[in-house]
Amino acid sequence: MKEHSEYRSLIPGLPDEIALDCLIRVPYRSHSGLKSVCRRWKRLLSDRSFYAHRRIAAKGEDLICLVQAVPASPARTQSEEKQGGTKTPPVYALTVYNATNDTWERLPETPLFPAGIPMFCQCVAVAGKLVLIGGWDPKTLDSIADVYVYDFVKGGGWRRGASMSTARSFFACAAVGPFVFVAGGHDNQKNALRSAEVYDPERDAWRALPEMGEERDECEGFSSGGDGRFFWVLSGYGTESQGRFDSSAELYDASRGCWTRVEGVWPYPNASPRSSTMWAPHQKEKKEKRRCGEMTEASSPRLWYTDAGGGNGGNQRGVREYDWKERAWRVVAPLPEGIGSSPCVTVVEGAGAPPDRVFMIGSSNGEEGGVKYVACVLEILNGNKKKWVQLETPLEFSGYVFSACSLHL
Amino acid sequence: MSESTEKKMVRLRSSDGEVFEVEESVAKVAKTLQDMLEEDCADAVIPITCVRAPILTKVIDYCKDQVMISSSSSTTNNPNERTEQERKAWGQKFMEGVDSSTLCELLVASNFLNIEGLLNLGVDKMVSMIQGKYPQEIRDMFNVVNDFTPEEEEEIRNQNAWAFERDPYYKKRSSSK
Repeated sequence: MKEHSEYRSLIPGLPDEIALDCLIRVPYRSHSGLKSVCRRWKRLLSDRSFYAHRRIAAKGEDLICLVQAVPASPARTQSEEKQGGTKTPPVYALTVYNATNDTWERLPETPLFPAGIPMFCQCVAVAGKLVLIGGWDPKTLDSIADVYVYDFVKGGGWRRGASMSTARSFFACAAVGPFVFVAGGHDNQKNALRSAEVYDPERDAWRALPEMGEERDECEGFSSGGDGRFFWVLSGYGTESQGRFDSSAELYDASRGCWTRVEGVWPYPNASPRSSTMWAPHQKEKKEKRRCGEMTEASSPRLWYTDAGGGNGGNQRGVREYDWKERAWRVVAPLPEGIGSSPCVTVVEGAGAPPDRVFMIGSSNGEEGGVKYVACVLEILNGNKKKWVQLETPLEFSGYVFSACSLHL
Repeated sequence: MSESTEKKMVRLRSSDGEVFEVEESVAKVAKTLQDMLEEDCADAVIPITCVRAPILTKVIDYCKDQVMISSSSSTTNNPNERTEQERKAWGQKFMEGVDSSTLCELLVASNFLNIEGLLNLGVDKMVSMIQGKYPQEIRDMFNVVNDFTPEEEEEIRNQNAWAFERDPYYKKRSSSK
């Protein structure tokens, strides 16, 4: 037996190779327990290569992170009624839906958030970390520049990250390669913003980007090009045109360091693209042939929009895909019955490329009059068939969701 | 089972000197032994140097079962054929009561003898023994030495709140298929 102080086998009596084979199969929710066993296990499970092993063995799990309002408890509603019906703002928490094991839970509370996580903060997943950015202070309701990081690989709970250069809420945000890009939104004077910046989670530092051509409040952001080169900012509106959504988008090319304006992508002046548009998962099988000189995936990414009929003047509901040639959003799949306006969606990252599932949570016509949010998953099957599967959404996880992102661990 | 023509027997010797006589088909479930037998370099007694008798008994039980279910699988109505569910249940039953040190020896044996099915059963068993356990329970089961300083342990305890609350929000989808 090797009982050397320098080297101990992962599990005494077992070759490390077999022990590793066992450990990568232990479900993620037991990992913090494993990290507490001994130094070697801690090192092993705090390294991203461990999660690469899981991915190869198809033992990774899909975690969907949600910035979610905690449904008010009956006790709280009663006390509010006693105080003359003044409603206190909802408390937000970070919900994790494990799409592999079909379980729901909340990240633990921390003194960093005495009144819940920031309201309307954006969440984004990058390099095994969950990053919460901006939003409103839950007490003062001011826009804030705060950043909080939860590292799912290294552990250690929530910690504070470097703040943005400016307070920002309702902005575009996306992981582009190893970085997080943000643009637009509004500051705490309710001024729509033109500014953009980029966060490096490794160095915990922000860097300013050139300004966009337009102010864009309530815009949506996503990456395209796969290699972390392009950042898209879709629609939004300026301070002067409150609530009238602009039809253009702006595209930032990280390798050239400049913005390009793209006209006419968002034909819905009354609908916000925020939280219900996404860079779509690729179709299965059908490999797209694009001729040289034609638009590439980067400059004309496949965009999806879960259109629940809100603000579009009685348009047909459905999952729409943007047709770059015809310049129109075409319905490519239905929406589940009963899902109300502005659902929140995120593409499930999954083990392999391309991803083939979309997670959505949206309001449902509740039985007893109350609004309940229910979750569904759109599965993209062979032959490009699409099928919605409704998830059982426990009551305590049936609150409004502002922002969602997905990690594969 | 096929009519009893004369079955070729093979003898295996465990690390602690016990000799087991098994049908060749049973021994061949182990890829390592199959290779040896096919190359005909295994007359007399095959020494299984790293596997003790009680473990080898268990391994042979597994191999016998595999021969039993595969022997008539070519015929359409095989009474021994198992559905996925039955196979899972059988595997769990087979591993029932196996303690952590026996499990480690079984894993080493199935790895050495190259029996993929048994190795998978062992890995699954290991996972089920580890998941949801407190760190001290895991250390006790597998003799893993706690080499954290008390300060480090305290810090870990504070950081890893998740480890110490067992499935408070756990919800299983009951209606799904």
